[in-house]
Amino acid sequence: MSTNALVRIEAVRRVFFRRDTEQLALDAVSLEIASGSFVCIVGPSGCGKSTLLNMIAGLIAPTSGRITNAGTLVDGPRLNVGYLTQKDTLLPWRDVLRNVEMPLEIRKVPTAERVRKARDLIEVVGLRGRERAYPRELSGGMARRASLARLLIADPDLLLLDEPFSALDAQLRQEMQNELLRLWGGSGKTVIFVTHDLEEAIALGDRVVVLGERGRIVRDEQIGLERPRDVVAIRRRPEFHAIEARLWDALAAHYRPGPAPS
Amino acid sequence: MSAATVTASASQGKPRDAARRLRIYGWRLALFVAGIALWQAASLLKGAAFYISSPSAIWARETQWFADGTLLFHTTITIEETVAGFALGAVAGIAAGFIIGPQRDVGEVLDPFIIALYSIPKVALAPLFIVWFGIGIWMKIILAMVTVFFIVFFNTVAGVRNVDPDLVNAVWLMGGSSREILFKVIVPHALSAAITGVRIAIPYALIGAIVGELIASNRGIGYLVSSAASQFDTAGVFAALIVLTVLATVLNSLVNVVDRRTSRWKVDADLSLRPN
Ligand SMILES: Nc1ncnc2c1ncn2[C@@H]1O[C@H](COP(=O)(O)OP(=O)(O)OP(=O)(O)O)[C@@H](O)[C@H]1O
Ligand SMILES: [Mg+2]
Repeated sequence: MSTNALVRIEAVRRVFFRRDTEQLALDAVSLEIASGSFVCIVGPSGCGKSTLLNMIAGLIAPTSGRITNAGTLVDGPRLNVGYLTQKDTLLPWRDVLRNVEMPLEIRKVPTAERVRKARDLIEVVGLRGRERAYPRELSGGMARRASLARLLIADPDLLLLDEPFSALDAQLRQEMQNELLRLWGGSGKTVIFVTHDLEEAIALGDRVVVLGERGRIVRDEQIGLERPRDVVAIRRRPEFHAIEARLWDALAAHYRPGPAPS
Repeated sequence: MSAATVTASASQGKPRDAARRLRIYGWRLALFVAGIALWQAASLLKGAAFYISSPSAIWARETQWFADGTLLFHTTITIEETVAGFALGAVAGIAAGFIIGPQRDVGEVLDPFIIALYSIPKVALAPLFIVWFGIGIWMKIILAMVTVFFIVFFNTVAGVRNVDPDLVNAVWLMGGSSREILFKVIVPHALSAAITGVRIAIPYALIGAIVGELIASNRGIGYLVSSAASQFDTAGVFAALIVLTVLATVLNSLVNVVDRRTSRWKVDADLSLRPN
């Protein structure tokens, strides 16, 4: 496994300085993400999941330790990495279509082509008819799906998704989960998927990593369920419940939400 | 009720609202007529006409000015000063805001000086401007311009500085260069703040021009007011003030047009819910 790792996180520590206090968000986290795998990360609020993704994306640097992507040190954002941040960042002065087009605009793709691709993806995320709506005119779930379309249009090799579906209703969430699995299946893309929802993590992932306080890995479980999967059907399998029970115990045993005392 | 009908009724007004609106217009008209009638009656009191003139005398003055071209002449002058001062001040304010805004160090050095200049009541600068630019039209234009400049400048700088860092990061993550971050995030964000400044500044341009005319002039609506007053011609003063009121009202409705044109992405489509 360590031979085909795409992302290597080596003894990463991250401290935030706020006025005169220090906040240790992540302490000595080491993790390898295999190329082409779908890895889900769960953990209590404030345990450092978003901080970890920020560092993998190259938005912020580790205080110590290092992160490599495809063998080279991550020292800034990369074009082949797509990051859906926890907070939506659609540009409020652009409508949905112009927001979704944006990554291709930056890559200087001709207008006709990027409009065509943007329309396709808007269709995929179920926002047809909303192309001309501004972000403030969208519901939270719609904004989330528009962000997802904007992420997918750049066709990244590594997808970092921070709670992409938590704003969606159960029905839509299942649809989007299946859609994501369909897009990922056979694409060779690597997905790192952060969620609070244990069921979601098991239904989607090849592997579920449970984090405790300060990003400590309290459980790292391979999910041997078959592929391709249907997220609804897979939940009815007896193995599913066995896995869920094991992970739940790990999560509960280390449950301590909020910032760890430094 | 579905979401669609809720929005429709919220933006178009229920039939009940139409009746209410009609009633409000009715009351406004009644109040206006009553006020005029009271004024006219009061003016009949002995000696009162000297202080408060009368609606009929004012109306007579208004039609006389209209017929002999006085009205058009002076109004045109004031509009010219206002528009020129406004345009120069807005352009300079936006330009300076975009130049100084992104440079934090330069901004910090200049901050106290700019605040000091901004704090001076602009009216107090008028005598100085007379020395520098004479009592012609330029002194009024500059006075209007200076007032507008500061309002627009401050709004633009604030817009440049208050950009949501998450939006900047989003473009950075997409592979955007600092140039693209500037033109796709900072400029659009700051421009909307700048337009807010421009919107607020419109009435101030008129104030600048009028103050200039009141202080030293031989033309413009401000001059009409002060020359009538110096001759104890109360009807003339009121007639000029009414012209000024109309002009200010027109400018204010211009503000609303600017609002509607520029901010669909941030303002509710239903502007009638907001006070203006
Ligand atoms: N920019 C920042 N400045 C200061 N402290 C921060 C910053 N970002 C995160 N932290 C702190 O780091 C810790 C981890 O935060 P992080 O956002 O990574 O948590 P999370 O696991 O994503 O939580 P959630 O599930 O609620 O999104 C928290 O204690 C948080 O207060
Ligand atoms: Mg988070």
